[in-house]
Amino acid sequence: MQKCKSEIRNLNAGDKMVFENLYGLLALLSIIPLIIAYLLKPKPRDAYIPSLMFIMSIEGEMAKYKSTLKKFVKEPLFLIQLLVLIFFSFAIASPFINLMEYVHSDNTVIIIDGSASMQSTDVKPSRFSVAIDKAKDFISKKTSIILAENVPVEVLREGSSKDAESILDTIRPKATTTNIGDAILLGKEILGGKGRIVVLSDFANNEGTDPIIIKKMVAASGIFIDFVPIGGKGDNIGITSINIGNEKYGFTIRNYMPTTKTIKIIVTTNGKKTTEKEITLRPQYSDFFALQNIGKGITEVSIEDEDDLEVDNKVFINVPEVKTRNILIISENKTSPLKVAVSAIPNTKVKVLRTDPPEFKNAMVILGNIKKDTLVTPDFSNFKNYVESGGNLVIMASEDLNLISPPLLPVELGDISTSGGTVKTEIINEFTKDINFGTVTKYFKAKEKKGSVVVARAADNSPLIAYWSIGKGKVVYFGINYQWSDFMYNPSYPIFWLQLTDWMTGFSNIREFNVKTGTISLSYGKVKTPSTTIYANGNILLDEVGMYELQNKKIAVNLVNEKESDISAVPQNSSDYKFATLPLKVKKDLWQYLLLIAMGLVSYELFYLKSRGEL
Amino acid sequence: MIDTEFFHQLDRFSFMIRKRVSNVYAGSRRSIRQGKGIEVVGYREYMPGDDFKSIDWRLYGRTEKLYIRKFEEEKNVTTHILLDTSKSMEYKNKFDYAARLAVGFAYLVTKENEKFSISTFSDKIDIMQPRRGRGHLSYAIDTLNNPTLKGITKFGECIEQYNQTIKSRSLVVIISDFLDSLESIKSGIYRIAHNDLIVIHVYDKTEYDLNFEGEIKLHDLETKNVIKTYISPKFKSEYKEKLNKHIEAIRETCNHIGANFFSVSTDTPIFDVFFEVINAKV
Repeated sequence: MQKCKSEIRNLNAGDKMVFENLYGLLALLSIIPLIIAYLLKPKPRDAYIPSLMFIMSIEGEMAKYKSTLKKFVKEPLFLIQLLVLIFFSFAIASPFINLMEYVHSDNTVIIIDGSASMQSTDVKPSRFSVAIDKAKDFISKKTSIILAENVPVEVLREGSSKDAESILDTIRPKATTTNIGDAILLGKEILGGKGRIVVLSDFANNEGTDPIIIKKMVAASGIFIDFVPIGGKGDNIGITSINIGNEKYGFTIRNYMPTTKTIKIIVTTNGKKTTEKEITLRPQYSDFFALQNIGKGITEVSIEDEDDLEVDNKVFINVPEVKTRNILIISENKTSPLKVAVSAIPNTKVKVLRTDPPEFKNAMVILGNIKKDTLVTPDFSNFKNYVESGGNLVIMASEDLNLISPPLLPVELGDISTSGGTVKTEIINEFTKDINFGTVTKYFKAKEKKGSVVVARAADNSPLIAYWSIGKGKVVYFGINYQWSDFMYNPSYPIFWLQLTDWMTGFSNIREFNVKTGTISLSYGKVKTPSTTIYANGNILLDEVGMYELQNKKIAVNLVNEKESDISAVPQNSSDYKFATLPLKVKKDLWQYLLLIAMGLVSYELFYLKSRGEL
Repeated sequence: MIDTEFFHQLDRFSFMIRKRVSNVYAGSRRSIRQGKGIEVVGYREYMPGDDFKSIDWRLYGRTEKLYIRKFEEEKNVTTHILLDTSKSMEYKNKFDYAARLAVGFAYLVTKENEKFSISTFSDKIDIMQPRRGRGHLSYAIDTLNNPTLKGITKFGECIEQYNQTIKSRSLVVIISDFLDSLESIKSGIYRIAHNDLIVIHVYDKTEYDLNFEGEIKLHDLETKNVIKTYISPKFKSEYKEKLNKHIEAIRETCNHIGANFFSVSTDTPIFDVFFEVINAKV
C-alpha cells in the first residue's frame, strides 16, 4: 500500500516552464497603459500643517509593518495592479512544467491474469495466489478489478478498498487463455483518463494485441500502467489438442520438461475404466494417442504425472445421441441431384412427394422443381402454419415459381434472366462457408423483401440465396436451380446441403458438444458448471475444464492449448515487464495557480483600499 | 486687529467676579485666605514653627500663654497671560484669535485696576513685567500687533522659566495650540498649578478636519519636517483620534489640578469664549 500513496515529489527541479498558448503572452501588453497611467499621474501637492507630529506618529506605527517594503514599494496599488495583469496574462498563456512524479493511485484498476497457466504451482501456493497477494498492495481509495481471461471479466468497478479486498479473496483462476490487451483497454475505459492500471500476470501466453503495445498506447494517454510479472519456470506434461473425427478421437500429449518422462494414460467412459496405457515422452516432444469407438456418453482421458499444472492433465469427450432427421422434398422429379445430395447427409431420412400434404411433420421441407399446378394448397396456408410453428422451408427456383410467387418467399420474383454470370457470395455464414456456387445460366430477377437477409447475389444483384424468419421457423430462397447452373457438378454441392440442413434444423454437430475453454455460449436459466451451479441470463463464458450442463445439453469443455500449457517460459525480462515504482514525467498545468495568485492579489487590493477607508 | 468695538463689547463682562480680595486698591472683595496683613481676625495657641514675630506679647502678659495673632491676608491678584507665538500659531488665523483673547483678558483685568502681563513663548519665553493701567494695555496691544511667530513650542521649559517670576499666587491664563509633546505640556501645567489657572487650547477647524485627500507632501510649520503620505478617510479618522487623545490628556491634567480647560476653534465667536471662561467655576 505504501507504494500507492499519493506521494508527489518534484524530482527534477530543472524542468523548464513551457507555454501551451504563447499568444496568451500578448495579454502582457495590457501593462503598458497601466504604466503610462501611473507615469502621467500628477505629483503629490505640498501642504503645510502645524500638527504633523500626529501624522508622523501614525506613520511611525505603520512603519512597523511596511518599513522595509515601503523602501521598494512606493506605489503599492500600482504594484498590485501590475502583478495582477502579469499573472492573468501568464495564466492565459497556459504555462506548464513537466514534473517527475510517483504515480498516484486514488483510482486503480487491478488486472489479474485468470488464464490456465496462472494455476501453475511452480511458485507456491500458485501463480494466481501470489498475484492475489501482490494485488492487495495496489488497492487504493477506488479500486476496480478485472480478471483477464480470453475476454476481460469485470469483477469489481470502482469499489472501496474493503470491497476490493473481499473480492480478491473470492476470485479463482480459470482455464482459458488470456487477453491482457483487451483487459487493459477495459481498465482504461473504467478509469476515464486518470489513474493507474496494474497488470499481474505470468505473461506466458496472450491472445490479441501484444500487451506491450497496448501498455505504451495507454501510458501515452496519461494513465500510469505497471506490469507485475508473476511466476518462474514450471514443469508440465499436458494434453494440448483433441482431434475429433468420424468416430476416431486423437489426442496430443506434450512434454515441456527438459527430461524424458513416462506417463500413464487412463481412459474412462461413463465412469468405467476402458483403457490404460503408458507412453514415454522425450523432452520438448509431443506424442499422439488415439481412441476409436469410445461409445456414446462422457469419456474422460487423463494422464497421471506429477507436474506444476493440473488443469491440462485431463480432457473430456462428450459423444451425444444422434436423432434421425426427416426431410421432405416436394418435386415433379422423383430423382434429382438435390435428392442425392440430401440423402447423403448422415442421420437423415428423405422422402419425395409430387404434391404438398395438408400438414408437415418434417424437420425440413424443400420445395424443389414444381409447376403451377403442383401444389394443392396454392395459398401456401399449410406451409405458413408449418413455418410459423417452427418448421424450416427451402424454396428452390423452378420455371413456374414466379407465377406461383409463394407469399413466404423472402424475395419478390421478377422475370427469368438469361444473362447468366458468377454467383457472388455476400455473406459467409454457417451454410455458405467453404462453398463455391459457380455460375448460373438463368435465374429469376428478384428484389429482397424487407427483413430478409441476402446471402448470395447474381451479377445484376438479384438475390440468389436469401432467408428470413417467419414465426418460429425459417424460409430460405435458393435461386440456383441445378438445371440453370453448374453448381450440381461442384464438390461443394452436397456440403452446402449438409451445412444448410444442419443450420436450418439446428442439428448439433459433435463439435458443439466438445468445446475449448473461453467459448461463449448463449444460455438462460440454470447452468451447471464443473464447480458450481449458476443462473444464466444470456451469454456465459465457459472458462472451466470439465462438464457443463446448459438447458439439459451436456458440453465437454477442455483447455487443449499448446501455448497455454507451456509454463516453462520465464516471464519476459525486458524493462517493459519489470515492475518499478519509477517516477514518471507528468505534465503539470500552472495556470490555475497563477489565476489563484491573481485573484488573491485582487482581493488584497480590495482589502488595501478598504483599509484606507476608500471602499 | 483690535478695535474699540471689541472693548465696548467686553465692557459687558467683569473678570473680577472670579476673585475675592480685601485690598483697598482692589475693590471690596474679601480674601478667603489668612496670612500676613493688618486686620486681626483671631488668635490661636503658638505652635513650634510659627512665626515668632506674630506672638501677641500683651496677651501673654495677661494669660501667661503664648498666642499668635491671625490676620486676613492682603490680596493683590496679578493676571499672567501666556500667549503661544510658535510658528504653528501662524496657521490660518490662529494667532490673531489667540491674541484677541489675550488682549481681551488684559482689558478686563485693567478695568479692575489689577496688574497684568502678556508674555509670549515658543522655544523661549519673552517675559513682560506685570503692571496696571491703560498705558500698559496699549503697550501690550502694540506688541501683539507686530508679532514674530517663529520657533518650535517648548511649553514645559518656558512655563518652568516663567513660574520663577511669579512671586505670589496669581491668575495665569495660558493660550496656545499645545502642539508640543504631552510630557512637556503636563510638566508645564503641573509647575504652574499652584496658581489659579485657565488653559485655553486654540485650533483651526481645517487643522482638526485635515482637509486633504490622496497623495500629499506634508510640511510641518514648526519643525520643517516633510512627510509624503496618502490621506485616506481611515487615515483621517486615525489622525483625529490622535488629536482628540492629545487634547483629552491635557484636559485631564487640568482637571487633576483644578484648572479650567477650554478647547476653542477659531470659528467660535470670541465673546462666547469670554462668556464661557468667566462663568466657569474656579
